[in-house]
Amino acid sequence: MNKEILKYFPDKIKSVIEENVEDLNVEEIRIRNNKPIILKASTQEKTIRYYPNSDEMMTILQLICENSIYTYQKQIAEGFVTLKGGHRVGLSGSCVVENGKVINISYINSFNFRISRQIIGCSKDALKYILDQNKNEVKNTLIVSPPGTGKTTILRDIVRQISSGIKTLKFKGQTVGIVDERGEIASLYKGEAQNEIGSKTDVIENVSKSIGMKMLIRSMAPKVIVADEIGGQNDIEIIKYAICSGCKGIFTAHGASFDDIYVNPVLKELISSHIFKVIMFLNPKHRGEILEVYKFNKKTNQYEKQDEEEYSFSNLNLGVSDDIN
Amino acid sequence: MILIKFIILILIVLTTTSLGMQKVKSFKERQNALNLFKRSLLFMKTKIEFTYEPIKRIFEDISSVIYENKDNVFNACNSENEITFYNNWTKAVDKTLKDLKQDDLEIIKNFGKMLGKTDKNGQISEIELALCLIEKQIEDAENYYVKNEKLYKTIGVVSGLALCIIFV
Repeated sequence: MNKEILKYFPDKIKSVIEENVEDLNVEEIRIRNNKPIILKASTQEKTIRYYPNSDEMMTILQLICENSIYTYQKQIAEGFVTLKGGHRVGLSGSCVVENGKVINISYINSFNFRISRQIIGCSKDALKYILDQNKNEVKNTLIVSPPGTGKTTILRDIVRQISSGIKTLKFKGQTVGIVDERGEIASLYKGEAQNEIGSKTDVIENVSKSIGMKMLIRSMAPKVIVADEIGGQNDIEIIKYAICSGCKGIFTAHGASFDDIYVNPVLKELISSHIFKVIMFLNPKHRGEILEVYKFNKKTNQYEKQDEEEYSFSNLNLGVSDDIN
Repeated sequence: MILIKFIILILIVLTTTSLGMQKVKSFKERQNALNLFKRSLLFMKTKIEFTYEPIKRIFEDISSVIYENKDNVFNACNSENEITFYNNWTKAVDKTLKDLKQDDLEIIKNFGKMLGKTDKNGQISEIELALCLIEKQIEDAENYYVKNEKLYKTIGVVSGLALCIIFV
């Protein structure tokens, strides 16, 4: 486990976690007021019989906010705080609502420390469907999977690769604009991306996709625009605007099949208007694995399931510092 | 012999006079320390209101902008390694603000209790409350200085002379 996360806990909690972590590759630490602490790895869970009190919960909040809650007020109201290193802390408690907006969360009841992990090269399989090597550009793509199956991790690696370029494929780096609404892709901490996102990537975060995409397109002129978890009310208009502006788009959405995503009217309309050239479903049982890929066929005007053998990226070697221009 | 006696008497008068002066100086130093703290609070208020910078960063700025040397409460607080901010703050106050009276220290320590624990408006209110209380203490320190400056200087000289008379 990444030990740097431990500095955000009071001494007692820190020591019980250290005693129990052993060889567990912890991905989440769940701390609830007066409830046992839970360490979560990808396949197993460990319960620690230690019950944090209100003072300890307050101390954790103070530590994650650098003793300056007002600095992190907006993030707290959004329900999460990004830490140095790209780790994120989800929090819940009593919401303070003003004019229909959450302006604060008081009496924090639980923390969910999500330990950041970036897997360099995990988008190898996905890239072969996304890249158009002849034109040196990417195809408009929608990646679909249920929560917690590695969608964002793959998206982050895709950004990294298309931004820095891929030497072995002679794919030149593209300017990428990320609208990181919840700060999960780049994890900016004091303006610095905590995750490796490539050398030609601009990030705008803590802003809605509709506002963020417009700002990025106007100010940073990205070739590729990226956003996580689309499907909100204003997303149709802004994604169409982005594509009409000449940008390519890579987006993700929650779901497990076409039936699931058709339930969402926004996604249904975007798919019906054939905005996406590639729709990729991830395997809900195996994190980061592609289940099936559909490609839009202009002739039949339909999405058709792709054969994996059609492409051959077997020798593809993806690294962080490929940087080709 | 008379010369030695005379020198000793002069030394006694000089010592008691300088003790009186020291006391008066400490009143002035209390005033200065409170005034610097007030300026720091105003600086902190502006920073929190417009830049949202975290406390640690603001303390670094206060330490370099408001204070001439690093031996100040804000720098000391940043250097402490306790788990809670309040413990760091009280330790730093005890270490650095030695010219202040108990009342002043209580106000400054209490100010640290809520620092960083609320939203922006809460912090501004806390700072304004502390400013109000510190201004009162400054007024008190000024009055005390005006009232007692001459008294302590005179006591210094007179007690020296009195000792001389007793010894003679």
